[in-house]
Amino acid sequence: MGQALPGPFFDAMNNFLQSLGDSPEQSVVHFAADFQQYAKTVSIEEVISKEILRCKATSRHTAAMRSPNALNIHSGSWFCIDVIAYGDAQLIDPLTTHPSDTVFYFLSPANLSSFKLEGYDNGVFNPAARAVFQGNRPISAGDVVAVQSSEEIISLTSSEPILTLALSNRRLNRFAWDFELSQGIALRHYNNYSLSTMMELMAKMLGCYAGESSIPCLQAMLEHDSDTIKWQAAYAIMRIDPRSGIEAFKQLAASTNPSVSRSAALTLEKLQHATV
Amino acid sequence: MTLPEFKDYADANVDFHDPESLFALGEQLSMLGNNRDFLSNFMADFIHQHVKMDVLKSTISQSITIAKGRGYYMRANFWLPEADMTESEAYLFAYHQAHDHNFEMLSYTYCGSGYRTELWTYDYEKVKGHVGEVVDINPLGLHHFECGDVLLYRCNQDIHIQRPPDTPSITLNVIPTQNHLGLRDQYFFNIPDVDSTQGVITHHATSNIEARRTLFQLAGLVKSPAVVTALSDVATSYDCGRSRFEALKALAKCSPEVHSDVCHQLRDDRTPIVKHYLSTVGL
Repeated sequence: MGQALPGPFFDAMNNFLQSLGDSPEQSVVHFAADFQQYAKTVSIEEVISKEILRCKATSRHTAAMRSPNALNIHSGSWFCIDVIAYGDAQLIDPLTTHPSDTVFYFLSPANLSSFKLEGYDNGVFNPAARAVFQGNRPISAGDVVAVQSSEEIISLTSSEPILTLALSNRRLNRFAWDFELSQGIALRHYNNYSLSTMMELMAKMLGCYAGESSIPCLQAMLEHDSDTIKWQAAYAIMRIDPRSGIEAFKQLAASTNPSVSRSAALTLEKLQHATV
Repeated sequence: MTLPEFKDYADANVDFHDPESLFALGEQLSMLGNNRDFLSNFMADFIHQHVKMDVLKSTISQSITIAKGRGYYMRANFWLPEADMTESEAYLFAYHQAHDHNFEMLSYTYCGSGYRTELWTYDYEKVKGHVGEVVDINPLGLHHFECGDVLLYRCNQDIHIQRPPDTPSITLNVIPTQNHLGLRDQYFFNIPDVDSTQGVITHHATSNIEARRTLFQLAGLVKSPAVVTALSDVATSYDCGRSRFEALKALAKCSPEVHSDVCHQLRDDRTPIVKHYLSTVGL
Protein backbone atom coordinates (compact mmCIF):
# COMPACT_ATOMS: atom_id res chain seq x y z
CA MET A 1 0.00 0.00 0.00
CA GLY A 2 1.20 3.54 -0.59
CA GLN A 3 3.33 5.01 2.13
CA ALA A 4 1.44 7.67 4.11
CA LEU A 5 2.90 11.14 4.18
CA PRO A 6 3.48 12.76 7.58
CA GLY A 7 1.22 15.32 9.21
CA PRO A 8 -2.24 16.24 7.98
CA PHE A 9 -1.82 14.30 4.74
CA PHE A 10 -1.36 11.11 6.76
CA ASP A 11 -4.63 11.75 8.59
CA ALA A 12 -6.51 12.59 5.39
CA MET A 13 -5.32 9.41 3.69
CA ASN A 14 -6.07 7.16 6.63
CA ASN A 15 -9.40 8.81 7.38
CA PHE A 16 -10.59 8.25 3.84
CA LEU A 17 -9.56 4.59 3.76
CA GLN A 18 -11.08 4.08 7.20
CA SER A 19 -14.38 5.63 6.17
CA LEU A 20 -14.51 3.49 3.03
CA GLY A 21 -13.74 0.37 5.00
CA ASP A 22 -16.43 1.19 7.58
CA SER A 23 -19.06 1.98 4.95
CA PRO A 24 -21.43 -0.67 3.66
CA GLU A 25 -20.87 -1.82 0.10
CA GLN A 26 -22.22 0.80 -2.33
CA SER A 27 -21.28 2.50 -5.56
CA VAL A 28 -17.91 4.22 -5.29
CA VAL A 29 -19.32 7.22 -7.19
CA HIS A 30 -20.74 8.40 -3.83
CA PHE A 31 -17.16 8.95 -2.70
CA ALA A 32 -15.95 10.94 -5.69
CA ALA A 33 -15.35 14.23 -3.82
CA ASP A 34 -13.59 12.52 -0.90
CA PHE A 35 -11.53 10.44 -3.29
CA GLN A 36 -10.33 13.57 -5.03
CA GLN A 37 -9.01 14.89 -1.70
CA TYR A 38 -7.45 11.54 -0.85
CA ALA A 39 -5.78 11.27 -4.25
CA LYS A 40 -3.92 14.53 -3.65
CA THR A 41 -2.19 12.91 -0.67
CA VAL A 42 -0.95 9.84 -2.55
CA SER A 43 2.64 9.84 -3.74
CA ILE A 44 2.48 7.75 -6.90
CA GLU A 45 6.26 7.86 -7.21
CA GLU A 46 6.70 6.41 -3.76
CA VAL A 47 4.09 3.70 -4.31
CA ILE A 48 5.64 2.55 -7.56
CA SER A 49 9.25 2.71 -6.41
CA LYS A 50 8.40 0.71 -3.28
CA GLU A 51 6.72 -1.98 -5.35
CA ILE A 52 9.78 -2.21 -7.60
CA LEU A 53 11.99 -2.62 -4.56
CA ARG A 54 9.71 -5.36 -3.19
CA CYS A 55 10.28 -7.22 -6.46
CA LYS A 56 14.00 -6.58 -6.17
CA ALA A 57 14.07 -7.98 -2.63
CA THR A 58 12.78 -11.36 -3.81
CA SER A 59 11.95 -12.69 -7.26
CA ARG A 60 9.16 -14.71 -5.64
CA HIS A 61 7.22 -11.52 -4.92
CA THR A 62 4.47 -11.09 -7.51
CA ALA A 63 4.09 -7.44 -8.48
CA ALA A 64 0.63 -6.22 -7.47
CA MET A 65 -0.54 -5.67 -11.04
CA ARG A 66 -4.29 -6.32 -11.28
CA SER A 67 -3.99 -6.05 -15.04
CA PRO A 68 -1.16 -5.16 -17.45
CA ASN A 69 -1.83 -1.46 -16.88
CA ALA A 70 -3.15 -1.33 -13.30
CA LEU A 71 -1.08 -1.44 -10.11
CA ASN A 72 -3.18 -2.17 -7.05
CA ILE A 73 -2.28 0.03 -4.11
CA HIS A 74 -5.13 -0.75 -1.73
CA SER A 75 -7.85 -3.37 -1.50
CA GLY A 76 -10.79 -3.25 0.87
CA SER A 77 -13.58 -5.77 1.26
CA TRP A 78 -15.68 -4.12 -1.46
CA PHE A 79 -13.44 -1.55 -3.17
CA CYS A 80 -9.97 -1.25 -4.59
CA ILE A 81 -7.63 1.59 -5.51
CA ASP A 82 -5.25 1.29 -8.44
CA VAL A 83 -2.79 3.37 -10.41
CA ILE A 84 -3.90 2.89 -14.00
CA ALA A 85 -2.09 3.98 -17.16
CA TYR A 86 -3.68 4.44 -20.57
CA GLY A 87 -1.64 5.01 -23.67
CA ASP A 88 -3.99 5.17 -26.63
CA ALA A 89 -3.92 7.88 -29.22
CA GLN A 90 -7.16 6.69 -30.83
CA LEU A 91 -10.51 5.47 -29.60
CA ILE A 92 -10.59 1.73 -29.17
CA ASP A 93 -13.09 -0.24 -31.26
CA PRO A 94 -15.13 -2.01 -29.99
CA LEU A 95 -16.06 -0.07 -26.87
CA THR A 96 -16.27 -2.25 -23.80
CA THR A 97 -18.40 -1.55 -20.74
CA HIS A 98 -16.61 -0.78 -17.49
CA PRO A 99 -16.39 -3.84 -15.23
CA SER A 100 -17.74 -1.83 -12.27
CA ASP A 101 -18.41 1.72 -11.12
CA THR A 102 -15.16 3.70 -11.01
CA VAL A 103 -13.97 7.12 -9.94
CA PHE A 104 -10.94 8.35 -11.87
CA TYR A 105 -8.57 10.99 -10.53
CA PHE A 106 -6.42 12.26 -13.36
CA LEU A 107 -2.71 12.67 -12.80
CA SER A 108 -2.16 13.87 -16.36
CA PRO A 109 -4.39 15.52 -18.99
CA ALA A 110 -6.53 13.58 -21.44
CA ASN A 111 -9.37 13.84 -23.91
CA LEU A 112 -12.52 12.12 -22.70
CA SER A 113 -15.20 10.72 -25.00
CA SER A 114 -18.47 9.81 -23.38
CA PHE A 115 -21.07 7.25 -24.54
CA LYS A 116 -24.50 6.84 -22.95
CA LEU A 117 -25.88 3.32 -22.66
CA GLU A 118 -29.44 2.96 -23.91
CA GLY A 119 -31.64 -0.09 -23.67
CA TYR A 120 -28.91 -1.66 -21.55
CA ASP A 121 -29.45 -4.09 -18.70
CA ASN A 122 -26.18 -5.84 -17.94
CA GLY A 123 -27.73 -9.21 -17.06
CA VAL A 124 -29.98 -9.42 -20.12
CA PHE A 125 -28.30 -9.18 -23.52
CA ASN A 126 -30.35 -6.97 -25.81
CA PRO A 127 -29.18 -6.62 -29.42
CA ALA A 128 -31.09 -3.32 -29.59
CA ALA A 129 -29.00 -1.74 -26.82
CA ARG A 130 -26.78 1.11 -27.93
CA ALA A 131 -23.76 3.10 -26.76
CA VAL A 132 -24.64 6.60 -27.95
CA PHE A 133 -21.86 9.14 -28.38
CA GLN A 134 -22.39 12.17 -26.13
CA GLY A 135 -19.35 14.27 -26.88
CA ASN A 136 -15.69 14.95 -26.15
CA ARG A 137 -14.18 17.13 -23.46
CA PRO A 138 -10.68 17.88 -22.24
CA ILE A 139 -9.64 16.65 -18.81
CA SER A 140 -6.93 18.35 -16.76
CA ALA A 141 -4.63 16.91 -14.13
CA GLY A 142 -6.45 17.05 -10.80
CA ASP A 143 -9.89 16.48 -12.34
CA VAL A 144 -12.07 13.67 -11.11
CA VAL A 145 -14.59 11.73 -13.24
CA ALA A 146 -17.12 9.33 -11.72
CA VAL A 147 -18.42 6.59 -14.02
CA GLN A 148 -21.63 4.70 -13.36
CA SER A 149 -21.01 1.53 -15.33
CA SER A 150 -24.73 0.85 -15.81
CA GLU A 151 -25.18 4.17 -17.60
CA GLU A 152 -22.10 5.09 -19.58
CA ILE A 153 -18.78 4.22 -21.10
CA ILE A 154 -15.92 6.69 -21.16
CA SER A 155 -12.94 6.39 -23.43
CA LEU A 156 -9.67 8.26 -22.95
CA THR A 157 -7.28 9.39 -25.64
CA SER A 158 -4.09 11.39 -25.62
CA SER A 159 -0.87 11.71 -27.56
CA GLU A 160 0.95 11.16 -24.24
CA PRO A 161 0.33 8.32 -21.75
CA ILE A 162 -2.44 9.05 -19.27
CA LEU A 163 -1.95 8.30 -15.59
CA THR A 164 -4.90 7.96 -13.25
CA LEU A 165 -5.66 6.92 -9.72
CA ALA A 166 -8.87 4.87 -9.78
CA LEU A 167 -11.30 3.86 -7.04
CA SER A 168 -13.46 0.92 -8.17
CA ASN A 169 -16.05 -1.42 -6.80
CA ARG A 170 -14.63 -4.91 -6.49
CA ARG A 171 -17.98 -6.47 -7.29
CA LEU A 172 -18.01 -6.58 -11.05
CA ASN A 173 -20.98 -6.48 -13.35
CA ARG A 174 -21.83 -10.00 -14.34
CA PHE A 175 -21.03 -9.45 -18.01
CA ALA A 176 -18.79 -7.28 -20.16
CA TRP A 177 -20.47 -5.98 -23.31
CA ASP A 178 -18.81 -4.86 -26.52
CA PHE A 179 -20.33 -2.07 -28.61
CA GLU A 180 -19.28 -1.23 -32.13
CA LEU A 181 -17.73 2.26 -32.06
CA SER A 182 -19.20 4.09 -35.04
CA GLN A 183 -22.88 3.16 -34.60
CA GLY A 184 -22.88 1.99 -31.01
CA ILE A 185 -24.42 -1.39 -31.84
CA ALA A 186 -24.27 -4.07 -29.14
CA LEU A 187 -22.02 -6.81 -30.49
CA ARG A 188 -21.64 -9.45 -27.78
CA HIS A 189 -21.39 -10.06 -24.07
CA TYR A 190 -19.17 -12.38 -22.06
CA ASN A 191 -18.50 -13.24 -18.46
CA ASN A 192 -16.56 -10.80 -16.29
CA TYR A 193 -15.95 -13.59 -13.82
CA SER A 194 -13.91 -16.58 -14.94
CA LEU A 195 -15.74 -18.52 -12.20
CA SER A 196 -18.92 -18.19 -14.25
CA THR A 197 -17.19 -19.52 -17.34
CA MET A 198 -15.76 -22.37 -15.32
CA MET A 199 -19.18 -23.36 -14.03
CA GLU A 200 -20.57 -23.29 -17.57
CA LEU A 201 -17.72 -25.53 -18.68
CA MET A 202 -18.36 -27.92 -15.83
CA ALA A 203 -22.01 -28.13 -16.82
CA LYS A 204 -21.00 -28.95 -20.41
CA MET A 205 -18.58 -31.65 -19.30
CA LEU A 206 -21.06 -33.19 -16.88
CA GLY A 207 -23.65 -33.20 -19.65
CA CYS A 208 -21.23 -35.05 -21.92
CA TYR A 209 -19.81 -37.63 -19.59
CA ALA A 210 -21.55 -37.79 -16.22
CA GLY A 211 -24.54 -39.85 -15.10
CA GLU A 212 -27.73 -39.25 -13.22
CA SER A 213 -25.85 -38.68 -9.96
CA SER A 214 -24.75 -35.30 -11.38
CA ILE A 215 -28.31 -34.09 -11.94
CA PRO A 216 -28.76 -32.62 -8.42
CA CYS A 217 -25.76 -30.28 -8.76
CA LEU A 218 -26.92 -29.24 -12.24
CA GLN A 219 -30.39 -28.56 -10.84
CA ALA A 220 -28.73 -26.38 -8.18
CA MET A 221 -27.19 -24.37 -11.04
CA LEU A 222 -30.70 -23.56 -12.27
CA GLU A 223 -30.93 -21.28 -9.22
CA HIS A 224 -27.79 -19.31 -10.14
CA ASP A 225 -28.03 -15.57 -10.89
CA SER A 226 -26.47 -15.97 -14.31
CA ASP A 227 -28.77 -16.93 -17.17
CA THR A 228 -25.88 -18.38 -19.16
CA ILE A 229 -25.05 -20.76 -16.31
CA LYS A 230 -28.71 -21.73 -15.98
CA TRP A 231 -28.92 -22.41 -19.69
CA GLN A 232 -25.84 -24.65 -19.76
CA ALA A 233 -27.14 -26.51 -16.71
CA ALA A 234 -30.54 -27.15 -18.33
CA TYR A 235 -28.89 -28.35 -21.51
CA ALA A 236 -26.61 -30.67 -19.56
CA ILE A 237 -29.55 -32.12 -17.63
CA MET A 238 -31.33 -32.74 -20.93
CA ARG A 239 -28.35 -34.72 -22.22
CA ILE A 240 -28.28 -36.93 -19.14
CA ASP A 241 -32.02 -37.43 -18.62
CA PRO A 242 -34.53 -35.94 -21.09
CA ARG A 243 -37.41 -36.03 -18.62
CA SER A 244 -35.48 -34.00 -16.04
CA GLY A 245 -34.27 -31.81 -18.89
CA ILE A 246 -37.82 -30.93 -19.88
CA GLU A 247 -38.53 -29.84 -16.31
CA ALA A 248 -35.38 -27.72 -16.36
CA PHE A 249 -36.42 -25.98 -19.57
CA LYS A 250 -39.93 -25.42 -18.18
CA GLN A 251 -38.24 -23.54 -15.36
CA LEU A 252 -36.29 -21.43 -17.86
CA ALA A 253 -39.43 -20.76 -19.88
CA ALA A 254 -40.68 -18.79 -16.86
CA SER A 255 -37.55 -16.58 -16.83
CA THR A 256 -37.93 -12.80 -16.69
CA ASN A 257 -35.18 -12.60 -19.33
CA PRO A 258 -37.18 -12.61 -22.59
CA SER A 259 -34.43 -14.17 -24.69
CA VAL A 260 -34.10 -17.04 -22.19
CA SER A 261 -37.85 -17.60 -21.84
CA ARG A 262 -38.33 -17.46 -25.64
CA SER A 263 -35.46 -19.85 -26.34
CA ALA A 264 -36.62 -22.23 -23.61
CA ALA A 265 -40.19 -22.20 -24.96
CA LEU A 266 -38.90 -22.93 -28.46
CA THR A 267 -36.79 -25.77 -27.11
CA LEU A 268 -39.80 -27.28 -25.38
CA GLU A 269 -41.86 -26.96 -28.55
CA LYS A 270 -39.21 -28.78 -30.57
CA LEU A 271 -38.95 -31.48 -27.94
CA GLN A 272 -42.70 -31.92 -28.02
CA HIS A 273 -42.67 -32.32 -31.79
CA ALA A 274 -39.80 -34.76 -31.53
CA THR A 275 -41.69 -37.00 -29.15
CA VAL A 276 -44.99 -36.89 -31.05
CA MET B 1 -7.39 -45.13 -7.22
CA THR B 2 -9.13 -42.34 -5.33
CA LEU B 3 -7.88 -38.77 -5.27
CA PRO B 4 -6.82 -38.96 -1.60
CA GLU B 5 -4.95 -42.19 -2.34
CA PHE B 6 -3.21 -40.57 -5.29
CA LYS B 7 -2.25 -37.59 -3.18
CA ASP B 8 -0.91 -39.78 -0.37
CA TYR B 9 1.14 -41.78 -2.85
CA ALA B 10 2.55 -38.65 -4.53
CA ASP B 11 3.39 -37.02 -1.18
CA ALA B 12 5.26 -40.11 -0.02
CA ASN B 13 7.02 -41.27 -3.17
CA VAL B 14 7.74 -38.45 -5.59
CA ASP B 15 10.64 -36.02 -5.70
CA PHE B 16 9.06 -33.05 -7.44
CA HIS B 17 12.47 -31.58 -8.22
CA ASP B 18 13.25 -34.64 -10.37
CA PRO B 19 11.48 -34.90 -13.76
CA GLU B 20 12.08 -38.67 -13.89
CA SER B 21 10.37 -39.12 -10.56
CA LEU B 22 7.48 -36.97 -11.75
CA PHE B 23 7.19 -38.98 -14.95
CA ALA B 24 7.04 -42.22 -12.98
CA LEU B 25 3.95 -40.86 -11.23
CA GLY B 26 2.22 -41.28 -14.58
CA GLU B 27 1.35 -44.84 -13.59
CA GLN B 28 -0.61 -43.72 -10.53
CA LEU B 29 -2.12 -40.88 -12.55
CA SER B 30 -3.47 -43.50 -14.97
CA MET B 31 -4.87 -45.45 -12.03
CA LEU B 32 -6.63 -42.30 -10.85
CA GLY B 33 -7.86 -41.80 -14.39
CA ASN B 34 -9.53 -45.21 -14.28
CA ASN B 35 -11.69 -43.85 -11.49
CA ARG B 36 -14.54 -42.57 -13.65
CA ASP B 37 -16.42 -40.93 -10.78
CA PHE B 38 -13.89 -38.88 -8.84
CA LEU B 39 -13.92 -35.83 -11.10
CA SER B 40 -17.69 -35.60 -11.49
CA ASN B 41 -17.96 -35.92 -7.69
CA PHE B 42 -15.40 -33.14 -7.32
CA MET B 43 -17.30 -30.92 -9.76
CA ALA B 44 -20.58 -31.60 -7.97
CA ASP B 45 -19.05 -30.51 -4.65
CA PHE B 46 -17.51 -27.46 -6.32
CA ILE B 47 -20.80 -26.45 -7.87
CA HIS B 48 -22.74 -26.86 -4.62
CA GLN B 49 -20.10 -24.77 -2.84
CA HIS B 50 -19.99 -21.96 -5.35
CA VAL B 51 -23.49 -21.69 -6.76
CA LYS B 52 -24.70 -19.48 -3.92
CA MET B 53 -21.33 -18.08 -2.85
CA ASP B 54 -20.75 -14.31 -2.98
CA VAL B 55 -18.37 -13.82 -5.90
CA LEU B 56 -16.22 -11.51 -3.79
CA LYS B 57 -15.42 -14.46 -1.54
CA SER B 58 -14.39 -16.87 -4.27
CA THR B 59 -11.12 -17.04 -6.16
CA ILE B 60 -10.72 -18.93 -9.38
CA SER B 61 -8.20 -19.13 -12.16
CA GLN B 62 -8.62 -20.48 -15.65
CA SER B 63 -8.45 -24.09 -14.59
CA ILE B 64 -9.67 -25.95 -11.53
CA THR B 65 -7.22 -26.93 -8.81
CA ILE B 66 -8.37 -30.32 -7.57
CA ALA B 67 -5.62 -31.09 -5.07
CA LYS B 68 -2.60 -29.54 -3.41
CA GLY B 69 0.25 -31.57 -2.04
CA ARG B 70 3.79 -31.18 -0.77
CA GLY B 71 5.57 -29.30 -3.54
CA TYR B 72 2.90 -29.73 -6.24
CA TYR B 73 -0.70 -29.18 -7.19
CA MET B 74 -3.15 -30.92 -9.50
CA ARG B 75 -5.55 -29.24 -11.86
CA ALA B 76 -8.23 -30.25 -14.33
CA ASN B 77 -8.41 -28.51 -17.70
CA PHE B 78 -11.40 -28.43 -19.97
CA TRP B 79 -11.01 -28.44 -23.75
CA LEU B 80 -13.82 -27.73 -26.17
CA PRO B 81 -14.14 -28.15 -29.92
CA GLU B 82 -13.97 -24.71 -31.49
CA ALA B 83 -17.58 -24.83 -32.70
CA ASP B 84 -18.80 -25.48 -29.13
CA MET B 85 -17.13 -22.47 -27.53
CA THR B 86 -19.00 -19.41 -26.28
CA GLU B 87 -17.43 -15.93 -26.40
CA SER B 88 -16.49 -16.26 -22.73
CA GLU B 89 -14.88 -19.64 -23.21
CA ALA B 90 -12.88 -18.47 -26.21
CA TYR B 91 -11.04 -16.05 -23.91
CA LEU B 92 -9.83 -18.95 -21.73
CA PHE B 93 -8.33 -21.19 -24.38
CA ALA B 94 -4.84 -20.78 -25.86
CA TYR B 95 -5.44 -22.86 -28.98
CA HIS B 96 -3.22 -22.50 -32.02
CA GLN B 97 -0.52 -20.65 -30.07
CA ALA B 98 2.89 -22.30 -29.77
CA HIS B 99 4.22 -22.02 -26.24
CA ASP B 100 6.46 -23.70 -23.72
CA HIS B 101 5.96 -23.98 -19.95
CA ASN B 102 8.18 -22.62 -17.22
CA PHE B 103 7.39 -25.61 -15.05
CA GLU B 104 7.36 -29.36 -15.45
CA MET B 105 3.89 -30.70 -16.18
CA LEU B 106 2.67 -34.28 -16.12
CA SER B 107 -0.52 -34.49 -18.15
CA TYR B 108 -3.17 -37.19 -18.61
CA THR B 109 -6.18 -37.17 -20.90
CA TYR B 110 -9.05 -38.19 -18.67
CA CYS B 111 -11.96 -38.19 -21.07
CA GLY B 112 -13.04 -37.15 -24.52
CA SER B 113 -11.18 -37.44 -27.80
CA GLY B 114 -8.19 -35.51 -26.49
CA TYR B 115 -6.44 -32.71 -28.34
CA ARG B 116 -3.88 -32.88 -31.10
CA THR B 117 -0.59 -31.22 -30.42
CA GLU B 118 2.40 -30.28 -32.53
CA LEU B 119 5.64 -30.61 -30.60
CA TRP B 120 9.15 -29.19 -30.74
CA THR B 121 12.08 -28.96 -28.36
CA TYR B 122 14.51 -26.09 -27.85
CA ASP B 123 17.45 -25.04 -25.69
CA TYR B 124 16.34 -22.43 -23.14
CA GLU B 125 19.93 -21.60 -22.21
CA LYS B 126 20.65 -20.43 -25.76
CA VAL B 127 17.69 -18.06 -25.79
CA LYS B 128 18.02 -14.43 -24.75
CA GLY B 129 14.23 -14.11 -24.35
CA HIS B 130 13.17 -10.88 -26.04
CA VAL B 131 10.18 -10.44 -28.32
CA GLY B 132 11.20 -10.89 -31.94
CA GLU B 133 14.05 -13.26 -31.16
CA VAL B 134 14.50 -16.13 -33.60
CA VAL B 135 14.89 -19.41 -31.76
CA ASP B 136 16.20 -22.72 -33.14
CA ILE B 137 13.72 -25.53 -32.53
CA ASN B 138 13.70 -29.27 -33.17
CA PRO B 139 10.41 -30.61 -34.61
CA LEU B 140 8.91 -33.75 -33.04
CA GLY B 141 5.81 -33.97 -35.20
CA LEU B 142 2.11 -34.14 -34.53
CA HIS B 143 0.76 -36.17 -31.64
CA HIS B 144 -2.82 -37.04 -30.75
CA PHE B 145 -3.05 -36.86 -26.96
CA GLU B 146 -5.74 -39.48 -26.64
CA CYS B 147 -7.82 -40.58 -23.67
CA GLY B 148 -5.56 -42.57 -21.35
CA ASP B 149 -2.29 -41.07 -22.65
CA VAL B 150 0.28 -39.66 -20.23
CA LEU B 151 2.66 -36.92 -21.37
CA LEU B 152 5.42 -35.08 -19.52
CA TYR B 153 6.00 -31.53 -20.74
CA ARG B 154 9.49 -30.58 -19.63
CA CYS B 155 10.19 -27.17 -18.19
CA ASN B 156 11.49 -24.79 -20.84
CA GLN B 157 12.36 -27.64 -23.21
CA ASP B 158 9.13 -28.67 -24.89
CA ILE B 159 7.11 -26.35 -27.09
CA HIS B 160 3.65 -27.28 -28.27
CA ILE B 161 0.60 -26.02 -30.09
CA GLN B 162 -2.75 -27.35 -28.88
CA ARG B 163 -5.47 -27.83 -31.48
CA PRO B 164 -9.12 -28.09 -30.43
CA PRO B 165 -10.32 -31.63 -29.77
CA ASP B 166 -13.05 -33.36 -31.75
CA THR B 167 -15.18 -33.79 -28.63
CA PRO B 168 -15.17 -32.02 -25.22
CA SER B 169 -12.17 -33.33 -23.32
CA ILE B 170 -10.61 -33.08 -19.88
CA THR B 171 -6.94 -33.38 -19.00
CA LEU B 172 -5.43 -33.73 -15.53
CA ASN B 173 -2.11 -32.05 -14.73
CA VAL B 174 0.37 -32.54 -11.91
CA ILE B 175 2.58 -29.46 -11.59
CA PRO B 176 5.51 -28.95 -9.20
CA THR B 177 5.33 -25.59 -7.45
CA GLN B 178 9.02 -24.82 -7.19
CA ASN B 179 8.75 -22.75 -10.36
CA HIS B 180 12.38 -21.78 -10.30
CA LEU B 181 11.84 -18.93 -7.86
CA GLY B 182 9.93 -16.83 -10.37
CA LEU B 183 13.03 -16.51 -12.57
CA ARG B 184 12.14 -18.55 -15.63
CA ASP B 185 10.13 -17.13 -18.48
CA GLN B 186 7.37 -18.76 -20.49
CA TYR B 187 7.33 -17.95 -24.19
CA PHE B 188 4.82 -17.84 -26.99
CA PHE B 189 6.23 -18.45 -30.45
CA ASN B 190 5.24 -17.95 -34.04
CA ILE B 191 6.08 -21.26 -35.72
CA PRO B 192 4.96 -21.56 -39.35
CA ASP B 193 4.41 -25.32 -39.52
CA VAL B 194 4.98 -28.65 -37.84
CA ASP B 195 8.35 -29.19 -39.55
CA SER B 196 9.74 -25.73 -38.82
CA THR B 197 13.21 -25.55 -37.33
CA GLN B 198 12.91 -21.92 -36.24
CA GLY B 199 10.32 -19.98 -34.33
CA VAL B 200 10.01 -16.34 -33.29
CA ILE B 201 9.15 -15.24 -29.75
CA THR B 202 5.96 -13.19 -30.03
CA HIS B 203 5.13 -12.54 -26.39
CA HIS B 204 5.47 -13.88 -22.88
CA ALA B 205 2.95 -15.70 -20.73
CA THR B 206 1.58 -14.34 -17.49
CA SER B 207 4.21 -14.92 -14.83
CA ASN B 208 6.15 -13.13 -12.10
CA ILE B 209 8.52 -11.88 -14.77
CA GLU B 210 5.67 -10.56 -16.88
CA ALA B 211 4.12 -8.86 -13.84
CA ARG B 212 7.45 -7.15 -13.23
CA ARG B 213 7.56 -6.07 -16.87
CA THR B 214 4.17 -4.40 -16.66
CA LEU B 215 5.14 -2.74 -13.38
CA PHE B 216 8.32 -1.36 -14.95
CA GLN B 217 6.36 -0.23 -17.99
CA LEU B 218 4.04 1.72 -15.70
CA ALA B 219 7.03 3.06 -13.80
CA GLY B 220 8.54 4.32 -17.05
CA LEU B 221 5.71 6.87 -17.22
CA VAL B 222 6.62 8.37 -13.86
CA LYS B 223 9.66 10.55 -14.13
CA SER B 224 10.71 10.78 -10.50
CA PRO B 225 14.07 10.29 -8.74
CA ALA B 226 12.71 7.48 -6.54
CA VAL B 227 11.45 5.51 -9.54
CA VAL B 228 14.64 6.14 -11.52
CA THR B 229 16.73 4.89 -8.59
CA ALA B 230 14.60 1.77 -8.18
CA LEU B 231 14.73 0.93 -11.89
CA SER B 232 18.49 1.54 -12.00
CA ASP B 233 18.88 -0.77 -9.04
CA VAL B 234 17.07 -3.60 -10.85
CA ALA B 235 18.82 -2.93 -14.16
CA THR B 236 22.29 -3.18 -12.67
CA SER B 237 21.84 -6.21 -10.46
CA TYR B 238 19.01 -8.72 -10.34
CA ASP B 239 18.83 -12.48 -10.72
CA CYS B 240 16.40 -12.29 -13.62
CA GLY B 241 17.99 -11.18 -16.89
CA ARG B 242 14.72 -10.28 -18.59
CA SER B 243 13.66 -8.15 -15.64
CA ARG B 244 16.92 -6.24 -15.97
CA PHE B 245 16.21 -5.83 -19.70
CA GLU B 246 12.69 -4.51 -18.99
CA ALA B 247 14.03 -2.17 -16.30
CA LEU B 248 16.50 -0.73 -18.81
CA LYS B 249 13.71 -0.12 -21.33
CA ALA B 250 11.63 1.65 -18.68
CA LEU B 251 14.64 3.68 -17.55
CA ALA B 252 15.14 4.91 -21.11
CA LYS B 253 11.66 6.45 -20.93
CA CYS B 254 11.81 8.05 -17.53
CA SER B 255 15.41 9.27 -17.51
CA PRO B 256 17.46 9.08 -20.71
CA GLU B 257 20.46 10.56 -18.86
CA VAL B 258 20.54 7.97 -16.10
CA HIS B 259 19.74 5.29 -18.68
CA SER B 260 22.84 6.25 -20.64
CA ASP B 261 25.00 6.16 -17.51
CA VAL B 262 23.68 2.76 -16.49
CA CYS B 263 24.19 1.33 -19.98
CA HIS B 264 27.81 2.44 -19.95
CA GLN B 265 28.22 0.96 -16.52
CA LEU B 266 26.91 -2.36 -17.87
CA ARG B 267 28.94 -2.49 -21.08
CA ASP B 268 30.90 -5.54 -19.92
CA ASP B 269 27.83 -7.32 -18.54
CA ARG B 270 27.60 -10.95 -19.66
CA THR B 271 23.89 -11.60 -19.25
CA PRO B 272 22.79 -12.46 -22.83
CA ILE B 273 19.59 -10.42 -22.91
CA VAL B 274 21.31 -7.43 -21.33
CA LYS B 275 24.10 -7.70 -23.91
CA HIS B 276 21.45 -7.83 -26.61
CA TYR B 277 19.81 -4.68 -25.22
CA LEU B 278 23.11 -2.83 -25.08
CA SER B 279 23.76 -3.76 -28.69
CA THR B 280 20.43 -2.14 -29.66
CA VAL B 281 21.49 1.13 -28.04
CA GLY B 282 24.85 1.13 -29.75
CA LEU B 283 27.07 -0.30 -27.02
